[in-house]
Amino acid sequence: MSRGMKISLGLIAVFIGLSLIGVIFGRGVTNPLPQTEDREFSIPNNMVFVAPTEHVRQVYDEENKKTRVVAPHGFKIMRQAPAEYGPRAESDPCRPAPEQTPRLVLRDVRQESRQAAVVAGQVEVSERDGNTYVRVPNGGMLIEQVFSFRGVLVWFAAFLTLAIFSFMYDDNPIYKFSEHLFVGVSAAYWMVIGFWTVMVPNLMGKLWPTLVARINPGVGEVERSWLYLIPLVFGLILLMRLSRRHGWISRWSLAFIVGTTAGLNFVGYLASDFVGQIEGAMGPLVITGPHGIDAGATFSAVVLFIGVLSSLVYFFFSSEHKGVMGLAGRLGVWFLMITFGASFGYTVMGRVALLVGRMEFIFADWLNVIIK
Amino acid sequence: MAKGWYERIRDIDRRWIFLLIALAVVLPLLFEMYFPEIPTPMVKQVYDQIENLPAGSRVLIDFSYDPASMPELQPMAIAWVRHCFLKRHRIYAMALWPLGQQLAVETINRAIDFVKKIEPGREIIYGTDFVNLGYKSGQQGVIKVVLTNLETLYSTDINGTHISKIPMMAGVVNLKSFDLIVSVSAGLPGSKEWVQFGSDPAHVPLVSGSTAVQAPLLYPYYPRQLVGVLGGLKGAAEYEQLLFERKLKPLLEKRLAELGHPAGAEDLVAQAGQYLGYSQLGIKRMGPQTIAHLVIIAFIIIGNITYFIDRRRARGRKTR
Repeated sequence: MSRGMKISLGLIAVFIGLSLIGVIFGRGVTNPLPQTEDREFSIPNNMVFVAPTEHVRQVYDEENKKTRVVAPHGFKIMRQAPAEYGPRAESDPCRPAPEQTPRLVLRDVRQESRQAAVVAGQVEVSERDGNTYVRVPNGGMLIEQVFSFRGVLVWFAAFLTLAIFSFMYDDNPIYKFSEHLFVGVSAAYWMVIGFWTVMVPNLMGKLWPTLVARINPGVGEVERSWLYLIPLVFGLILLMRLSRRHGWISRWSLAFIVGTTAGLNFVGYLASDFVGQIEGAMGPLVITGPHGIDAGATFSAVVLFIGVLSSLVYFFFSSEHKGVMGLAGRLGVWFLMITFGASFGYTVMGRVALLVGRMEFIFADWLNVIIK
Repeated sequence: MAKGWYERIRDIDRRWIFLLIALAVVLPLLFEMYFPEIPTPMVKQVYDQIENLPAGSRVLIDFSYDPASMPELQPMAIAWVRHCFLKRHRIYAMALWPLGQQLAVETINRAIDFVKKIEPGREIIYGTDFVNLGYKSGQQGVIKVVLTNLETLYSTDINGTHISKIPMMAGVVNLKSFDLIVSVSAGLPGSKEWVQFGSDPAHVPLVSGSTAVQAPLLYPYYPRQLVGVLGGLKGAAEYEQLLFERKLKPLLEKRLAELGHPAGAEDLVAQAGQYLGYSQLGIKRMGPQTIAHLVIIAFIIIGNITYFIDRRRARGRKTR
């Protein structure tokens, strides 16, 4: 058996051992099986919840001053959208006069089959065709019974955490699997988020607003702008990098990106890091407060002044570092070393904080040995 | 030849050090070891900046971090959002990191849960008290665009609602429309870019909460270009302590008394945790942090001693 396989088996043994510790000493290890659980979602202002009237129950919670509308078989969730989005749209019964909002109608978002409840301080309820329409004008919560894989995911995440830690002992196949999985999932997540939050509203939404509005009603309310064809073409050109023969075309986009970034950064760095920092360093050496000279602030100002000056002398190579220049240069090295030391200390603190976070996950979220 | 004790310490396997660090973190967690936090002047300035804004001020919070840096940054993000809600500021959440938008949802929901528990009957309404504008790619380019016109990039919020339909977006044109920018950042783009492209040109005060790794890069901007920096977990713990002492303590005591669980000063945090879901994540995590630092310092001292002993032995061999 190879060394990597032995370490992998050791990792599995540690995983089982820890879960046993959780069973014996904890308040119950997270249930690893999928199960239903109540989950809360915040309700945005343009949602309407629809269910057959016979299934809807309305209760007023006196203590919290909130209305709870319960639908045991779930709500159909609808959203306000302009009329031209499709034949499924129907007029909104919660709004009194259609001519006041002539283009706004309701459109299906999704059909829920599980138990659900709308909880809010203010609800507008109306009935039509045997259905009850619930609107929450000031927002609220939707509590749905959802089928949750949280337990499975917590166990899997705990295993992956230990798998990554196993590298500290030595390289092994399970570590490799976890590392590759992390990179793959991260890349996929970035791509999906980037597509739905940038490509759809900021590019497709500007070029084909009506089409995009079918997916996302809010985006469709902007005016079409053909100017956005330019970034579309540049984006497509960038993909030419995948072709060995036509890859050179992508350099046009890259040149644009590099040029724009350099231009943007130049201004920012010049104003804030160069001029701003010089201005910040040119403060008074003696600081006075309401009770006379502020000794602490004055000491800081003097140290800052000497530190800046001596560190600059260390990097001044136009004259030999001898005499006063040599002394100042050596002092500058001390200041630099202390700065690097402080930076390193902070780095250690950051890394330990991440380790604390992971340990908290293992002992609180997974094993339930401690309370977070 | 068998190794002596000195050689054993000098040539110690790195895995023993890993094990000791793991124990230094796990044992304080299991035995709930905390240490008192004394807020530094910089943290006090950050606190005062939020505290002194009039109720209803517009606070833009940038959640530019991801789950990898959550242990450090989530405690300060929660503390800030709690503070803003308690002061009745309007929160505009955004993210320059893709995963930040989901962390903003989680952070705000946690803070709302808590505020509603200590101020029963308080309505915190999406679109009126807070809005999540979500993530946009483009790094510092996003800041550059929202400096002049926010709607160019943020035409909708995270739910797809056009910003013209969100009540609290009325009157928000660009960065200058905000009273304060709060940057919770784990790297690039983050607080540095907010200074360069946002707060400096817009002349809007900026406070930053950053990972410990990033904090030394931000201190040069203090105090002229940055109101203050919460550096890593330590900064978060100090802010939690300050918020507790100055704002939450009387509120928690009052609410616990109303619920019939009056708490003494000693067990106030524990009682509030049990009945109101109050937590001081940063302070809790500083316990293991402190012990781990002591172990690291011990190893640095041991490493230096062995280095000097080796050097002296080598010199001794040369002279012979």
